[in-house]
Amino acid sequence: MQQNQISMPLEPANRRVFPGRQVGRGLLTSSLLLALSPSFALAADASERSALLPWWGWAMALFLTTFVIGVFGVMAGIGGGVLFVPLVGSFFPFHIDFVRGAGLFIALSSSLAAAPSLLKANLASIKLALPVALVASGFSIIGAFLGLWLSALNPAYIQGSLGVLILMIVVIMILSKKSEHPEVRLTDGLAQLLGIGGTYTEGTTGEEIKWTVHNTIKAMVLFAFVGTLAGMFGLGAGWANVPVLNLVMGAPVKVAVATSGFALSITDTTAAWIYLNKGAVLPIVTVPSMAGIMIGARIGAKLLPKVKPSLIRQMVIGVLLLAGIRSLLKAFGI
Amino acid sequence: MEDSRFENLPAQKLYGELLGKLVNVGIVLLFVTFVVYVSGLLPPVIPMEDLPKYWVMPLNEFLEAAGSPTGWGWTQRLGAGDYLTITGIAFLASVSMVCYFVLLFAAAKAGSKIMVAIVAAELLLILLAASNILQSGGH
Repeated sequence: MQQNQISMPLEPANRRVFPGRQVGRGLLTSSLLLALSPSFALAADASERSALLPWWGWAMALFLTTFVIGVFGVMAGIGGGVLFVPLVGSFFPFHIDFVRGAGLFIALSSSLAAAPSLLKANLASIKLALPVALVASGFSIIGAFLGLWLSALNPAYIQGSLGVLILMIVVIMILSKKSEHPEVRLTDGLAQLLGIGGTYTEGTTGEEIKWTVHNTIKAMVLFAFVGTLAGMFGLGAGWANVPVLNLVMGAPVKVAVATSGFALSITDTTAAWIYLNKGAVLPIVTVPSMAGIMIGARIGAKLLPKVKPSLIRQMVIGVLLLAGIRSLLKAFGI
Repeated sequence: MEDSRFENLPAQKLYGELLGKLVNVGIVLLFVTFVVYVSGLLPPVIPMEDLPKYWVMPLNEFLEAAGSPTGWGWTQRLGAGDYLTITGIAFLASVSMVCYFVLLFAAAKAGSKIMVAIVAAELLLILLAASNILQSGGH
């Protein structure tokens, strides 16, 4: 493995401020500050905003925010990364480079947590995920380099194009429809060569569903594009994977959702390593976010049967719309 | 051939079980190392109270100001809480790689050349991304 030399001497910090009992108060304070404080809203400069809370206050605020994202993300049927990057990138003081690094690990941890049970239930298909992941992960490496290069030129490029992308995702979420069991009359040569297909048991009826796919080459071109965007912005790509697998390739919607989740565990791995090796992963930003999203997603999954998914979905679309506009405004220094 | 297409990959359950176990180990590792970091059991290189000054910086500026290593340089600083935490993060970024090696052997055993090729190509991509070879070439 290639290693870069370390030139700086190690100087461990001995002065420490222990959060102790203040953590509980900080939890409340940080969320209140985030939600209500006019000074927070007006602190346009990241350094000014950063000084509004101590380090542990930001860590707690991040945990709370990602917890809520986890709950609502699962209920709205989207991954956490797509909400995390625009929201945290717009409203927290962290530089967008670290937010995108954390975003990839959030998407990665969510998919890693869900994949084992989806694979064991035969809802996620390795045969379907293999070509998808290969194409998307190859292009996510290109996307990761492109994103870091653009950000080094001017972070506003990334912030602005992120805003545009989020607004596009909003449009996709509003317009996209799902097909429970799309009809695949004639499969294509590549799908035949790869033997893509499978069987799963429909939980509601107990029926054995056999499925296969078509339009594989067309879908691979789309996955190349999606992989580039995922690496570039640190987003999960469930918002795009599911429609492509379901509507373009003709996989049943449950297989599409599960396979997309599993494929992300591979796709995001490659881009995540690029960010980690570049030094763009700060543990204080990444770990509370991963913890918040994983706990939130588990609670969201339990609440799922009790809520109206369409209402949650509309709420999430509204939040994404605001986050997209905010990202665009931030790019123009507004 | 037509019937076999609807059969799920025999290695799928093994992959799921192995992934589940590795992810659980990763989560525990992440939690323990993060507690060590924020509790100060192992002092970090960047003092906690100075973090708000660093996390607003663009990446290149941060790396210079913090003297932070890139690539696998973090492994030489495992005595510091902040770098120790990266162990858990890196572990979670590696679990799919381990599962893909298992899948590679399963595909080879089943004699599926196309699957061996796809799995091997994916493994190569992940190893390339993890090795830092691409980054070094880019400098």
